[in-house]
Amino acid sequence: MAQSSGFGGALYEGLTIGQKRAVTAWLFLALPIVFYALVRFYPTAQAFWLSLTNWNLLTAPGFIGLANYQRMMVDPVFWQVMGNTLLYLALGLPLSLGLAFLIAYHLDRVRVGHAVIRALYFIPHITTAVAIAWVWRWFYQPVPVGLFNEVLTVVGLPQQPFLRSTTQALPAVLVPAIWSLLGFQIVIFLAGLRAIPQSYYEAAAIDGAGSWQILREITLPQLMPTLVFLCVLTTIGLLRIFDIVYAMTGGGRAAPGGPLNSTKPLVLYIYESAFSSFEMGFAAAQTVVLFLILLAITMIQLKVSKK
Amino acid sequence: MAAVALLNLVKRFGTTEVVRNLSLEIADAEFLVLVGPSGCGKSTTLRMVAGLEDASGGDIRIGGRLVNRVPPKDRNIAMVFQNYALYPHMTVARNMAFGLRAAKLPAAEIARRVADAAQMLGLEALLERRPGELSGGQRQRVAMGRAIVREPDVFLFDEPLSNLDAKLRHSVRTEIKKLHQRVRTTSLYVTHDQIEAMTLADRVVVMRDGRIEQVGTPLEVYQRPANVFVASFIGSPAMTLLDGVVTAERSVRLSDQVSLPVPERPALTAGQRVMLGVRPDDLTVGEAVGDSMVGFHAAVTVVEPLGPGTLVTLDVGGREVTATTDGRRLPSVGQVLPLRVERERLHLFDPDTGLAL
Ligand SMILES: Nc1ncnc2c1ncn2[C@@H]1O[C@H](COP(=O)(O)OP(=O)(O)OP(=O)(O)O)[C@@H](O)[C@H]1O
Ligand SMILES: [Mg+2]
Repeated sequence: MAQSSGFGGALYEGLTIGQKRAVTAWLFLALPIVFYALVRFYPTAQAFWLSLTNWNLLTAPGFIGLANYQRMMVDPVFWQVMGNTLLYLALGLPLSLGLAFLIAYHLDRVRVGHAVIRALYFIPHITTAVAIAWVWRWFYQPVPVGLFNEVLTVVGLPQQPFLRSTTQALPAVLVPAIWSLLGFQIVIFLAGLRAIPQSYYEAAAIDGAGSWQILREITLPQLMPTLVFLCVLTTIGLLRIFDIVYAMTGGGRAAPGGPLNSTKPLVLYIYESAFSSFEMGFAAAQTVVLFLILLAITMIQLKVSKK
Repeated sequence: MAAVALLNLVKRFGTTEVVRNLSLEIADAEFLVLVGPSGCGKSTTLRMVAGLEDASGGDIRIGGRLVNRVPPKDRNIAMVFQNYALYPHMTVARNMAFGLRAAKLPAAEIARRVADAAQMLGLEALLERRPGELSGGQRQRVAMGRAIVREPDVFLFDEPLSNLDAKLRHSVRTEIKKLHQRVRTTSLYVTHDQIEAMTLADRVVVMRDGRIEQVGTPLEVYQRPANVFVASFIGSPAMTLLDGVVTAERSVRLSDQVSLPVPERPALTAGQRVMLGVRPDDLTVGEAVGDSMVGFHAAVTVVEPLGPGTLVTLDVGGREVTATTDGRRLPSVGQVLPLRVERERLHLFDPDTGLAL
């Protein structure tokens, strides 16, 4: 024992300072790496394998090649949920980021009660999606109950079906989804705004720049890294939208994602394929597609940000 | 171009007064330097002139116009910041043109002014680079360029050289001086470096604790400091200050062995305590000759060769004085040397008020 440690010690002593540092660093990193490999990478790799099988939880998975992918290509529901998902993204990303920036930009100027207001905006971020969903569901109810229709009738407008309409349901679900994204985005935007050196603004003020020129030529370019970071996170979040849709459209006799799949996002379809139809292979194939889309979009956004 | 006048200027942050009743006139085309130790309110004063801070009291006039309530952009000033405040995502050319774009000048005019300034500052080759790709000295010049293209009435500088190394500082200082001799724009320059102040200024304003201690040409504040603070702040190495007592023969007794005849001052009375100041540059090694010089002897404690000259610290009755000698022969520690100084170069201060006598 003493001898082996002596030998190891001699080996360690023989390393350069740089090598010793590297050894120490890897020792510290070893545990998280093992953990990550087991908890993250292994299941991911497993999903790739499962997507090539016909596993139904009961029998052993049998290799069926690309059959799951072929089925996906001709499945109208798959294309519909894909369209829904991209619509969530296409509407939700600009709207949430735009709103969050607008609020953060003005909040940055508020000097009194800044901390309190910021905390208020952060609340949606720490509230569970289910609670948010049920409150909004109640807002969307018809007249004696629902807030929005109440307001509409008071001002003399016709009631709207909201969650019961195949055209209005998706935007109606998206609104609380955006609202719950705002808190985090605002806080990150605020941090980004605060990090811009005050002297840039002072120099601009002396140079006579108006608020539009300052916004366009100083604030926005300086905020670019923040913006890209939020873009990536929000894109990933919206492409994986699930809980809020499930909680707002499901429950009772209604199948979640309705009416008529009009609000159903990809992740919900994956969930149903896996745990209602027990088609694990088909579900896995869809997760692989989602994974590839996420990867591609993230790569594009990071590349754009380098410019 | 314009004159700047400050009248009883006051700045308070909460209850602390950081600029106290400061009055100052800067003539048209003058280069005025505010100098003082860290935290004395130089930047705050400058920022009030720029309009970046509101004055708590008093008047600020630029070209005769009261500007206390005028926003920075309408004061027709340009400012060079300590960290240059160059926009990192813009090229040098776009940085320099920023204020001109704000003023909605025609593109041709913008291009002409940027080209002129770039030529004046030797930045032509760098116009398409970004600030991150420039050296400290080049960045500094871009910051100056951004100020020049605006053709303002007044230049404001807040320690523009403090991020440069000593050698570069010297050459950029010379550039600034040349530039001012060329464009003759009224300039207010803040620094805590007394050498910068001396070399650049038409007039120097020495500040302490939000107050002006003395205003004068560089030679005035060097040769006739108004008080002990200015005397010790201006000049490097610093003036030696020694306590003494005036004797009946119009000398100041520094120790049992050393009494120095001092210049005529009507206020001196026998037995009065005074503070005697002598600059190391004025106190040299050698026997006193003629009536105008006074001399004494002292033992060497420290020898510091600087190259062109040597600083010698000597012991006078238990206190240290610093003298200079030429760099050719180094005295040795313990050696007793003769020292001499022109009598008129001796400074006398009241030890209680600190004021020059
Ligand atoms: N925004 C502020 N709030 C409170 N006190 C301030 C503020 N700005 C400056 N001060 C105080 O005012 C005093 C003068 O500051 P100022 O920046 O004018 O000093 P300075 O002479 O420029 O010093 P330095 O050479 O270090 O730049 C300092 O004591 C500083 O702490
Ligand atoms: Mg300062």
